[in-house]
Amino acid sequence: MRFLPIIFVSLEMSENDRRLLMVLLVVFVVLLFLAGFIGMLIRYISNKMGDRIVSEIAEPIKYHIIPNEKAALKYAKIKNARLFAKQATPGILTLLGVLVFWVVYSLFTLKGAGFTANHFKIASELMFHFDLVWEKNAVGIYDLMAITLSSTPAFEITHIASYIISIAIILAGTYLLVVAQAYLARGQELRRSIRIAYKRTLDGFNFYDDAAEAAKAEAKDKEQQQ
Amino acid sequence: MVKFIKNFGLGLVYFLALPILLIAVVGYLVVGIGWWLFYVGKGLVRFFRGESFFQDLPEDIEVRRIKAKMAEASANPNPAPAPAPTPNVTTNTTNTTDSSQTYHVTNNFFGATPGMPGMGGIQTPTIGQNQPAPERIEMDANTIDLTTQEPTPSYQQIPTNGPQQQIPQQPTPMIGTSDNKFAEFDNIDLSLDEEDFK
Repeated sequence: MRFLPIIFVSLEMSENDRRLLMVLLVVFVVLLFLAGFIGMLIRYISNKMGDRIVSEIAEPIKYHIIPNEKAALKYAKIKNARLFAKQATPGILTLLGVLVFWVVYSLFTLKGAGFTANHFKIASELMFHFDLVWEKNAVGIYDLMAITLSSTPAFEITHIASYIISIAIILAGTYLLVVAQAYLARGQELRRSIRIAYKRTLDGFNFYDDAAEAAKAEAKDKEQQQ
Repeated sequence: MVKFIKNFGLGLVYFLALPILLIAVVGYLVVGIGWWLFYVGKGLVRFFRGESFFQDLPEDIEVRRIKAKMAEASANPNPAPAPAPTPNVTTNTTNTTDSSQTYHVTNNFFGATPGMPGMGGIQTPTIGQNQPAPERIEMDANTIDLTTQEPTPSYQQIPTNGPQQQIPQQPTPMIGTSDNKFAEFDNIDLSLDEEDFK
């Protein structure tokens, strides 16, 4: 947020400022699209997973096997947890595999250096690195002067273990977050669907319209009893 | 396009709510890992016992049973009628050659041989000189399933000599038979001619 004064305070923009502004605008638009697509993905997963779990619990409810809402919620909770257990297994097993790999690798490193090493920092050398150059202006506010490329991706074969550990943890973690989000979405959809399925509704009912028929039915019952 | 923009906008809203969503998701993840440990532990024990990993829920078993029943019913659309309380059917059988021979048969209505009149089977009456006449059936309407298909005897074939050789009990008149009120419509020519299409 420190670069905002550049846009709103500096009235006279140099060529460098204009370029910077353009870059920031492009980055903003890209981030906006990225955010929109991530949100769309979340919605898609929620809808898809909701439909799936509802189709799994629909039959016992349709066949009147489950008598009430409470029992249906209990049944749905078990089904949802089981589905989560099935879906989360690859992610959790990957994390367990990484844990075993990390322990075994660290035992073989000199003085157990693998235990204390920051594997994510080591693996970050596979990515671009930028430096932001800040400079204090006459008012005393720091202006962003430049964005410089500090390092390009570099692959070091001796760091392969760190790469594997970092990438596996990131992938498995992301996968588990998606699965957990699906679990959450399914839970919400189940509660909503079951509430509707067991709702005692008066929609389309009018007491005075049905009163005559109810009286007739009552009279018939009495007749039969006699 | 409008739908896409709407989805995109909602996506942005979801993204803005991501911090809150993330907290909820992490909470669910922790709970879910607990469930995972429970189910995997239980499942592994079951697996090494030679059983399925997940125990079948009673509701699922019931659904399977109902589905199997439905599949059976669809595969066999006309199953044998279910056993019912045994009514007593008294059958007076007469023969054209010896009309004095009268006997009573008490039988299980539904378990009777197909073809036996009034016993659920389809009978085609064939009456010749030495053929037995149609049987006269006296049955109690309260105890007999009247939906059972009865043979429809031909009027021309029923012999008229002898008091017991009467027309058997007639089933409910159906459209198209000679004694119903719609009989007059039978003579209407419903075929289409070329002129009808002009």
